[in-house]
Amino acid sequence: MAKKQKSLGEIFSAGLFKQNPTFVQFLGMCPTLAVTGSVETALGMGAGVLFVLVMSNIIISLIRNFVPNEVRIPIYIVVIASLVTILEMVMKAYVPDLAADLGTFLSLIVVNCLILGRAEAFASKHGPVKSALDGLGMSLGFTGGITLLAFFRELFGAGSITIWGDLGIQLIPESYQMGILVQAAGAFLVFGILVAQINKIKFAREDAQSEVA
Amino acid sequence: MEYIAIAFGAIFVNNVVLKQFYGLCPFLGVSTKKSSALSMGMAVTFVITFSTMIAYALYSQVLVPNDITYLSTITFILVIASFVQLVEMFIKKFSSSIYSALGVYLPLITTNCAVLGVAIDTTVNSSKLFNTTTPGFWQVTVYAVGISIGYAFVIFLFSAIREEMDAYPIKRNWQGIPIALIVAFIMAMIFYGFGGIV
Repeated sequence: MAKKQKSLGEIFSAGLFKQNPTFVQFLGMCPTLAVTGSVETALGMGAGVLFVLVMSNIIISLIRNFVPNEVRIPIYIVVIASLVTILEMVMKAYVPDLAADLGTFLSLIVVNCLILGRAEAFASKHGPVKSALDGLGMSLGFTGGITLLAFFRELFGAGSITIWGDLGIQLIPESYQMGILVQAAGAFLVFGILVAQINKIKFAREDAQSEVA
Repeated sequence: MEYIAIAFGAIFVNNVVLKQFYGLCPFLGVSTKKSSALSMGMAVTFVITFSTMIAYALYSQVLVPNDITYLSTITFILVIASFVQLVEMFIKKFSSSIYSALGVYLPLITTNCAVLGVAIDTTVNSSKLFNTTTPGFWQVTVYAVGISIGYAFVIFLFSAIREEMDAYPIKRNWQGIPIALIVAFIMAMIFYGFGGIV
């Protein structure tokens, strides 16, 4: 073993912070910007990605030794597309409102680079338990990232946070709201500012470390 | 007149990147140079137009009559993946100059959500785009061409701005993606101006 084996905890936490799909790797940008108009849709998208990513990682790591190398990508895509179809049917049956809000982006989980990326980079090389943990960590990191973005957009754009039923608390009065933030363009602005602030913290930490060393 | 309205709406008002958020990964990823943005735009135009036509034909002639529309996501992604593969082989055989310009971008297009997004929007979710649930073949084709021209136009514009930006000092934590997102925000605001026209 040339490379040091990672512990299960490290695999799980990589997706949450160090390799965060949203803020560090910039994977799955389309849903990140498109469904973060409200916290509710962001959480729904996160749950969908969680299901598909964990299941696809498990299935792909189970079949990894039977799949010929040349056709692995089409096979991964078929596995992912089948899982997304299952998810679409379940969501349309039990949470039709949420499915309608997510719209095309529910089907577009198929082409979320995060899922195919993890299948290729992790699940095709590791066992099912590790792959499941990796999928769980990555998708929780993704959900956390988009929910944070949605939180700021909804808070400053609509003035209150609505999760499954209006709480009726107006945190920011009407005349101070920035309506542009919940519209399409605002997603770019809020995401850009958030990434810049996270980079600032990251660089400050790196500088402190290099001074010690 | 109807086709002009559809095309104008697809290029400017409902711009695929700035309004609908499709295809953002390549939009941010390969837009650092004008030449690569142009190649990507051309490749995407070609693939979106033809794969939407194929997907529409399959949807209306095979999936709907047999009542198996729940298979549309799998069908479309397979159509797109195999079409991209076919185009790659075709270009490789017939024109090495086009292949060297577009070659590296073609495999990326399979996971470009603009392609699958337009295919789904024009078939399964078509009632939101057109005023009818069964849009005609030419309406869909014009829409697909418009969407892809809008994509190529915006990605080229964006790369030109990013090339210029290299000359200016930008704070370290804003370099790269963050400042690009702010530029995209300003571009999206400008494109809102087209909203009232159609």
